[in-house]
Amino acid sequence: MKNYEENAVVSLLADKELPVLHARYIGECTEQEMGEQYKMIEQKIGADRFVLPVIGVQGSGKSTFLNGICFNQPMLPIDAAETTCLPVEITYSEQPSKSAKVIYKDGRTSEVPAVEDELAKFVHSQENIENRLEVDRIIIESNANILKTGIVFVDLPGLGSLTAANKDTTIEYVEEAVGAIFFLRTVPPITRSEANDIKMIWPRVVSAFFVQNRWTDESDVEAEKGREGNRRIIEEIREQGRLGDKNTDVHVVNSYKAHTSSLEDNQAAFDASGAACFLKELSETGVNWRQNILQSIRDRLANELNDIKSKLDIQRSDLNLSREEIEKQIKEERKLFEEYIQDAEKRCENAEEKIDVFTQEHRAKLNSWKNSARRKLRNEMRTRLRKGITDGPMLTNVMMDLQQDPHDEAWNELDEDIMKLSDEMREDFGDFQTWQMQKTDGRQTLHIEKATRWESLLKPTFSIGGTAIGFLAAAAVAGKYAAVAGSTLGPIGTVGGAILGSVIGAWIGSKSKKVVVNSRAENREPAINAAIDEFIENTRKAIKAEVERFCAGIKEDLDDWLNQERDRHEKEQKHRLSNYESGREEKSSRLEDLKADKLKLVEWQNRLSC
Amino acid sequence: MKPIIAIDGLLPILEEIGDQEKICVANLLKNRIDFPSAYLTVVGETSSGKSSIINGLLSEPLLPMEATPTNGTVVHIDCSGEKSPQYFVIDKNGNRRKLGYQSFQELCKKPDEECLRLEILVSPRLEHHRKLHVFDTPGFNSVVDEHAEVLTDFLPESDVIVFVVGYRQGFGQVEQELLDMIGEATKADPSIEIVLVVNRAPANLQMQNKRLVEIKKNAFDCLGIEPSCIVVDSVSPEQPEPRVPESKKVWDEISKIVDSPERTSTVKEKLHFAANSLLQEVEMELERLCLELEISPEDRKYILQNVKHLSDAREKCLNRVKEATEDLRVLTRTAARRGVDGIKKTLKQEIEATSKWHDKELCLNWLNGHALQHETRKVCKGIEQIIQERLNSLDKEIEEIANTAVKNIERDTELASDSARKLAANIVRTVLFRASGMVAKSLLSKLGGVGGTAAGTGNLVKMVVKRAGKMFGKTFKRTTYTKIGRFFTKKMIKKLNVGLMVAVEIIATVLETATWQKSTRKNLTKELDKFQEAMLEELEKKTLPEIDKSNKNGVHEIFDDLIDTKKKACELDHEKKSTLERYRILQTKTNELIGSMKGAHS
Repeated sequence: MKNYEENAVVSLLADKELPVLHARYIGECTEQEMGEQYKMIEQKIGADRFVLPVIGVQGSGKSTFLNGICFNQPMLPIDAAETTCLPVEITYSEQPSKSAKVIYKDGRTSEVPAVEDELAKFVHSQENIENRLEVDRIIIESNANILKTGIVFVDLPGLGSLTAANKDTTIEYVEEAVGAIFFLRTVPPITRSEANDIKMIWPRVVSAFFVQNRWTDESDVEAEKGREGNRRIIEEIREQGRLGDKNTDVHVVNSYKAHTSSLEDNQAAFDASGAACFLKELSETGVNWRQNILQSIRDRLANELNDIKSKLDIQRSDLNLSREEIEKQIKEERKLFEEYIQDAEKRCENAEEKIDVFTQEHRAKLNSWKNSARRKLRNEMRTRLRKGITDGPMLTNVMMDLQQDPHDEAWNELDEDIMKLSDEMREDFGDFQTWQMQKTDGRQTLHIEKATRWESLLKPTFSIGGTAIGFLAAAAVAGKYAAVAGSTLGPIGTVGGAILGSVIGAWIGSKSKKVVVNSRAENREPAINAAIDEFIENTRKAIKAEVERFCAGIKEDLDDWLNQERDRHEKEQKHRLSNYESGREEKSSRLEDLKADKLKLVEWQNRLSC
Repeated sequence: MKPIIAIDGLLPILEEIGDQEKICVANLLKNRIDFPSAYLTVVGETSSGKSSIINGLLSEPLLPMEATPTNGTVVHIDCSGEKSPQYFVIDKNGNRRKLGYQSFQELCKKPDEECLRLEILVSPRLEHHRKLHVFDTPGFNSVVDEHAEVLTDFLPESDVIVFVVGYRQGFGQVEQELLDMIGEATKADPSIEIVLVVNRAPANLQMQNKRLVEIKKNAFDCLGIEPSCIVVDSVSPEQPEPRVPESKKVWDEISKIVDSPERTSTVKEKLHFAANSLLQEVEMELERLCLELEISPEDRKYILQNVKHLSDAREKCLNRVKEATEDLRVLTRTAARRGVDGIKKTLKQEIEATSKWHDKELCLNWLNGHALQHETRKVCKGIEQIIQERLNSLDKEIEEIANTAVKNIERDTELASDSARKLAANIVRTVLFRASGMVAKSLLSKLGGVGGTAAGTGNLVKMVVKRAGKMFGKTFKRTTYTKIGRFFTKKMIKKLNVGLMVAVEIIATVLETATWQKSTRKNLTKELDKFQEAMLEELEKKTLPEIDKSNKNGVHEIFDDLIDTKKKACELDHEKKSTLERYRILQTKTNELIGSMKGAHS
């Protein structure tokens, strides 16, 4: 059955007549364009690449886990306190290469031995400081069974902890992903920024898996209570995001055990780690991805055949009409279209208004953040100064530590606000259908989920899914992460530079030391306050730019979309009229052609629906 | 109609129902309207000279003002008294006992276990300060004290907070912590004024004086607003004893704030609101009493059924509370352990990164001055987060149980008579109201009247109600969580400071340079283990039991009185038509009062 279905889809996609008919009756794209599109889809079916990002914060045991399930030797560096956030892809190969492929941002590639120490040179933040090597990603091969079906694991940090450049890469992966594995901890339960990641990614993937890493010293009760807590939060996210019946199960695994047992090749221990059980579910679900994709392509093709058929029917009935009658119909249709486009314009206008309100509100919010963060930071720094931290690298360290909270707070807030706005938009456009000359039921039957998937598969060719939902969701992601997020942590360098000059004196008895400290602290304050102001200002600017970009992005997309709709309609009518003109001259042979084409369509339809 | 007339009208009604608690509230409200007064809290570091500022308000210095920390307890100076002062002590049970001057002075310096606060009833030096109630708080050398809890109780209830900074000492860490706390405690009520008093300043100080500017800047960073600032000059050594500073302008300024038209109208509004809430509540109660009297014997079974649903729900809720506490016990323990492990790892890496440290001093300084506190704070915050998450979901669980109970009650009473249904509806409303956000809202509803939100229930109302006694006990509110949380973190950091810092300092002076890293790490590990123990003990013995208790209380607050009164309702003598008629009349009267208040307000 499965094979038959696939064959039907593949053979239809390969049929040279399909683009011909599409061009002939729909008339939006040329035969050649359509041919290329179908070819691309065909390739997707054969590719069997199911990207599965593994998302989790540092120290969650994520890399250990991936080592455990993919390699029987240490591979991904794990004990790094801080790792540069580079995506590492793990792909299948029957005979894995002994080297890993490093892909640089400028497209260069190089090969390095696939061993922990060598990889650490790229992944460790102390070795590859702020990704100076300009690496885009690393690809390692593995012959783990789980990857056989085409699963590709990508070791990814959470979105919240990313810098701008890396965010783009992460988003690319998420766009391509069929699913996502969220890596959680027993304690703390899912944090605010983890929750934001889940909210952002979960709706965009077909299947999500939640894996909670259990440390070896955690008891059953502890792990279970932690699991309950995480699950409660996941359920809340599901409820808020109206994600229907998406699975909220949390798998408990012991990454460390999984890792050591695969080093020792100890299957029993591997099973006991919980990893085997998770892999089983993963591969069971994985079977469906292929099916899902195939299904959505099939649905889409069925819809297109329907479309072509209905256009064909129109052409045929047009031939029996007089010129005046056609023009009258076209006029009527134009009227309908105008109504439709007015509705669309109205929605877009409302959306733009909402966006403007959002911009204003967010600006106010940002201002109050600015004021309170500045005051708080000044106080925190004063406390440190009073305790004698007045110089050099220590001060830099302290500033770094203290910036983290206000920085995260501002960005988390932005994430949440943007998600809220996107939700509202989605609701506003939710019942909105794209224009169709003659409504067919097919389109509406597409699941939104599938439509979204379809879109991420075929983005360059089919820009808009069944409704405006997909398009908005995509706009939200694309707009959001295009900006420079991480640069706000930058100004710290200047503080370090400014203060580094003086080095703390020799040990002074604690009493006199206090005096020294006091006078020194007072001298330091202006420099520190300036650094604080700079940090605050940069963060504010970056966030402001982000908001503007996001808002402008949506507005632009909405405009483009309206224009597209107008264009499409225009073309549709011209096409109809020209077909009428050309067909009337040889009416009888034209009718024959139409009949033959229709037979072909019906045959295809039958093949697809079998 | 003015609130005062409404309250006058309400008092006889309350007398007739015999509701002592509400009579008490009404009397307080009346008192407050009759005798306008302002509540001031004076806060400052031990040696800032608070007591001397307060003494300047009086004709003679009644508060002891030695250089060493003087008062360990809150002293309430009530300026509405006679010229010759009277002294009182209020014990922990709320009993007020008269004192002689001598024992007052002694208790001031060394309060005993039973002493909750002291009180002086006296007349001020200047007549126009009569309405002032001044609360002198204990001096603080550090906020991380048991005293801090006292402060957080007082602050939100004040009309004005007077923050005293000694000019010579300047604005230091203690000031920062105190003022931070003041900012935190008054955030919800922007009508609370904060006055900054810079005490013992050199004569003729210019406003652009560097230190003064510094103090003001610091104060702004803590509060987010610029408080009005009053400079009080030092007492010259030539002045004869007792040397009381010239603080008249402080009190004049405060009187001005208190008497400003905006404040007067805010106070009026609040009084109006409080009176109205009280009326609404009495009305609701009368309605309930009447409904209960109207219930026919046949309908009693419905009410008993309702009671059963309520009792079941209470049982279930208490079970959920138990589960939540157990969850927290396990999870916080795990988090503490995991957290401390994390600190050890991080700090180990830091300490051993030799290239980073110019010398051991630098490293130890950094550990003491920042790293330890920063890391432990993260761990504590993590624990707070776990507590909050679990309590949030507990709230939801309880709401769900309440909803089910409500549905059952509605279903069961469908066939009952009109009054039984109304009574059930009354129960349903109450339960729903109380259960949403658990008890927080129900408490507010007591003030807000039927369905009214009590947002903006200002300090005055809180004060009135709280002073009436037990209506506002230790309750299960969001603020309670945060308070519990905040104290948890602060307490823990304090504990850490004591143990760890000392240890680190000692090894610092003794050890050879070659081995300091290793020894520091070893010592750190040992102390962090102790810290973990302390944290666990705090959780086990104090924080979690406290939370458990307030959760349980929360459940009882939702259900108990409903269950009890409904049970009683079924035992009432229903033949007493006359009682019913009397109540109906009272209800009408109350409604008239409510109506007339509305008219007056709009």
